[in-house]
Amino acid sequence: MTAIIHPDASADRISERARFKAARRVRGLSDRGIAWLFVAPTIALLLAINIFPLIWMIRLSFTSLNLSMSYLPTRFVGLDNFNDILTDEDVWARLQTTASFVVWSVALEVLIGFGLALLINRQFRSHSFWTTIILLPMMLSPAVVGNFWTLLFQPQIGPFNYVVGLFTGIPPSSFSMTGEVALAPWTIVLVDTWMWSPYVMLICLAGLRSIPDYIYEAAEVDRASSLRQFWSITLPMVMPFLMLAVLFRAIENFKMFDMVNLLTSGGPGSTTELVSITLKRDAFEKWRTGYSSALAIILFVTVFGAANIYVKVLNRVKQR
Amino acid sequence: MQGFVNSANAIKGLEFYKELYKCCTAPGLTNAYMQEGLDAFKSGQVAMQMNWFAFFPGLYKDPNVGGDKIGFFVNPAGPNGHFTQLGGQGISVVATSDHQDDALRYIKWFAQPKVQQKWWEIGGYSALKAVVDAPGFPKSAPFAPQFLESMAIVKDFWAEPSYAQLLLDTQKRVHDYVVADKGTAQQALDLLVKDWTKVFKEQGKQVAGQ
Repeated sequence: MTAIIHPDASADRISERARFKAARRVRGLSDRGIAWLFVAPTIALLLAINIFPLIWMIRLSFTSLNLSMSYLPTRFVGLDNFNDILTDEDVWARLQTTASFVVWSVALEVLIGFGLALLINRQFRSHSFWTTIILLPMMLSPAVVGNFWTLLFQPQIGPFNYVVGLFTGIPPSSFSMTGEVALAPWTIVLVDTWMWSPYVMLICLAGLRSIPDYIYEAAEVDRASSLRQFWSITLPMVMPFLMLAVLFRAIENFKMFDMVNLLTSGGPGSTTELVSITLKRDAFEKWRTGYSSALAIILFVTVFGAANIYVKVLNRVKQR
Repeated sequence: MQGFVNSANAIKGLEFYKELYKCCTAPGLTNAYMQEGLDAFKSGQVAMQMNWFAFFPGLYKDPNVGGDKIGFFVNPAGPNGHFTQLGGQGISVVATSDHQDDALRYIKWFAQPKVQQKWWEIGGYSALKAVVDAPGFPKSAPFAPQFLESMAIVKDFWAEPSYAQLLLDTQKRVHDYVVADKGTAQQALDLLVKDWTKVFKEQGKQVAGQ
């Protein structure tokens, strides 16, 4: 007797065998192999868009490359670019401007953000509504914030000057918030504080909500005053959160570019020219690629070093 | 460069420019360009402004400030001469281009009198003698006589590949002195010479006196 196998049935069996083999191959992979399989695309992407450009930038920082003079041969200049930057008075002046902006804006954001967190932490009617309203500025894009504050500060038609004029009697068009040497540095601090205090508030709120009620109850039993409770319980327990907020905001503001560029373009003169604006001008207006790569590395090392020291201090505070 | 860019007359000129800025600029115009200047003029904040000829047809047509309410004038003469600056950049042929012949052919075509005449008629600006010396030219636009006068006193600009860098340095030093009140005119121009020396050295050029 001859057994006749239906052609379709044989095809099914073949494909089943192929599936079984494939499954066995996957099953053959170790856990580590599967982990690598999942992580590999991310690592490849990171290498392509982060690590490779970083290494390339380090390489360029030792050269004389200027993209606007691509007809000139690119020379290896050793540490000349770094030497030029570190001995340039203008770069130090820009670093001072940046430091002043970071210190004032972060200090104000912490004060206002923490104050708002203390207020919002109390349960009251329409509490959620006010929380959302307070959070609105940080939800906006810095480009939008820069543009609409530029309009608000406009001396002729800007409402900001009119409000100031209303309370002080100063003619609205007699001063320019973004155009005067004495006012412009405070203007960028003001707008940054307006935008990012809610962010600090959120972090502080998380800290406040993590303090167990029983600690306050014990303090009440001990008849500790509200001020005493604040200094001995609230502040020490929120401190790691506050320090984290300072770290995040300081790093962000050290590399602040978009909002300040839109508000003042670094002016008047170079009064509000933060180091990131200098970097952009050197890299993309003057096209001094080698020089600006060196400046970018110096800034990166500065932020990285300062953040590392800060994190160590933060860990010590947490351990206390 | 040394002794020319920062000459005594250049210092005086810069000081005079600062005086003009302090007395007569509309508030808030610390970083103004063409558009802001036009806005200040059209809104009546300033009675006079200096701008490119390219904007004059639009200003002349403006119902509020144009027509018989507007007049055009040439830069006034200074103590050491009477000059004006040619707006825009000249056409350059890039030395590293693979299409230099095409670029040169285009320039030859564009420089033809009939093309330049047409260019002026449709709103472009021609400085070709055949166009500006034509008998009907002074009446061809309300500002044509001033254009003619300006072209006669044009001071040439530097045709430098690093033009943008030199301009950015100038803007920075002048702005720091005029707007931000940093240092003196002498210091601003001395620093400018230093900046420009750096740019030229990067270009591999010799700088006299350095």
